[in-house]
Amino acid sequence: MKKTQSISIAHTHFHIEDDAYAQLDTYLEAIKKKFKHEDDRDEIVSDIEARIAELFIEKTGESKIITKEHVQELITKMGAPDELSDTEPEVRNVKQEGKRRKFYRNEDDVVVAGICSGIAAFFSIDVLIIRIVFIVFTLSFGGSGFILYAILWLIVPAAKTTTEKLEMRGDPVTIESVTEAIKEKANAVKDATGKSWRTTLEFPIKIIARLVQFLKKFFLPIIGTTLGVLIAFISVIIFIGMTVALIASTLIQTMYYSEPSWAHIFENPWGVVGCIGIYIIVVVPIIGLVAVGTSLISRKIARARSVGIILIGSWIIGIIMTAIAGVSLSNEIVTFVQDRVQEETSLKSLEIRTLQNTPGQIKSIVASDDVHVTITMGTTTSIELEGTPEEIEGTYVVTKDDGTLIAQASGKGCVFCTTQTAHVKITLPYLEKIEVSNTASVSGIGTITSDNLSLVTGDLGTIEITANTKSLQTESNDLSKIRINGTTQIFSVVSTDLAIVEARNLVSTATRLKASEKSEIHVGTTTAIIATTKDIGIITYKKTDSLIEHSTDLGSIKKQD
Amino acid sequence: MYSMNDITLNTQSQMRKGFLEFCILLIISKKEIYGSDILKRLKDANLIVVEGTLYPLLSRLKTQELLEYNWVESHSGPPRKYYSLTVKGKEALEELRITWKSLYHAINSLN
Repeated sequence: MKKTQSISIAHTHFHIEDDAYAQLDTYLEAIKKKFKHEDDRDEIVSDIEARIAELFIEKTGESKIITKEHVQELITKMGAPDELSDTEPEVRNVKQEGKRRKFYRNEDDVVVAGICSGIAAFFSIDVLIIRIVFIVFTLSFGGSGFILYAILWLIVPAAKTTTEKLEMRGDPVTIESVTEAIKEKANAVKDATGKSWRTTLEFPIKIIARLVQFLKKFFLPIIGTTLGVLIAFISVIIFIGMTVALIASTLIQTMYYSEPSWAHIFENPWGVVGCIGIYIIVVVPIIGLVAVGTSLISRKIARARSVGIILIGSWIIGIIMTAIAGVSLSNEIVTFVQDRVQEETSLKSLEIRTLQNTPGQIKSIVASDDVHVTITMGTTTSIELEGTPEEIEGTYVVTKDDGTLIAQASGKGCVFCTTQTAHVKITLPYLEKIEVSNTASVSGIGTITSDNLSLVTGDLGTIEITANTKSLQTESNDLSKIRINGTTQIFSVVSTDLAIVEARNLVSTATRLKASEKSEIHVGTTTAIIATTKDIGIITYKKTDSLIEHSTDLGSIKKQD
Repeated sequence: MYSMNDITLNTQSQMRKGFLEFCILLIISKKEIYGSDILKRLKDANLIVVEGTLYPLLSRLKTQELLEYNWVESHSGPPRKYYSLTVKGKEALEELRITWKSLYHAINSLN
């Protein structure tokens, strides 16, 4: 009694023995392949299948069991795929099909993984030559051949079926060639004896093959099992940990959350949903890992498709649950994070140090080295440093006799690293000039009132103020940035080397602008503009009654709303 | 390079194929007939070696609109296609008949 399976040919049911099925399937595939370029191939194939069904009904009688003999008889009667062609000539056809080769690993001739013999079959060259070339290549290029070999091992599939073995050698896949290949394999054992020079050359290769086989047989299982046990063990521990965490976080709430913000999240039922979601997201891949581990131990690849689909499906559900919970809990999460951040900063214990009243009146502020300065206009003068003790230590503030206040890094500590600097808060009744360089920044709190104010920026420094002045001059270079709001009568701007002056919300009467070297100036409403641009300098304005412009070398002046 | 054997094989196969079309049209012209019966007639007349050859031919003749078919239920197997000639098919058959007659005479006179 042979194993049979149930099949349907042209809507007629048959029982077919396994080996007969394999043969019939190959035959039908070959026929389909034969007609694949015909427009009505489906019709031709179904006509042929109908005839096959008819023949089988005739032959098998009541039992409807198809045997190998039946299939062979059928093939003789219907003809080999190559004989079925409607158009001539077959001779050329066969040759063309013979050219289509595929690269497989040849597992019938293996030293390590059959890469070399696969290459040999692909190019129809003697394996021995490929192996010698490979060994020489590997020895002369410092082992790069091993890496190449490993990569090929991973990506190139082994020729398992007879069809694949024929494709590997570039033989056409027909019923005859398949039968022939099977016969050949049976004969191959007998032809194993070779010439003596060959035997000599092959001797070291054979030793390597034996060695690799030995390693494969004894060490691969050991390594595989160890790795499997390790993966499975770790996965199980993570799994238990996650499960305990889930139960703890969802059921024993009161005990677990002393934090009010935490508790807040879990009072909401979505909190529980989110927890379960996160649990699924983490645990599902771990179940997958356990499967990998166990299949490494048992050295059998566990591939249950339905289980895979269920795992992937539940993982996606986990993601959806987490996402929905996250969105509906967004407010709680934001407050939670804010609480955490506050906690963090309060831990650093900020300090405020008030400097002694400085001699004379401050007229100008010079900031550099990453220092951040805020200016407030007030009746008295005061200077405060705010930050951690290290930051305050790292900041140097001094007032010179000529009324210049200098704020910069003290340069204490290390030479190559940047020291953290404190926030410098200055209150003062009067100001003429602000100078900023080396990524320092100065910003004004409230409006800065002055008859005459001059702003100078360079080297990535920034100034951000609201001003109320009669005359306002700015000079900016080297990627620095100035943002001014407020009002002024006279506004004079010089900007160069990618500097940006942003004064769209400044109202001015007489405005003189110079933009060069890719710098930009944007002004707002002004009565009259005299503008000069050159070297891709850009000037824009919102509104003006009079415009005198002079542009050279791709400079441009535009009105902008 | 094709061997002598290849050349004769090729010619023979082409001759047979040319005739086969003519013969199929002849068989179908007698009465509505289904595939396996066509095969039986061809085999009896020793005109076909392997059965599989017939189906692409029938399919092509149908595409050329020389044939049409009807589906007829069968109690012993899959439904059958019963083929018949179209008007165009009948015309084509007439032309082939004339060609065959003239060829027959021509070859006889040379032989």
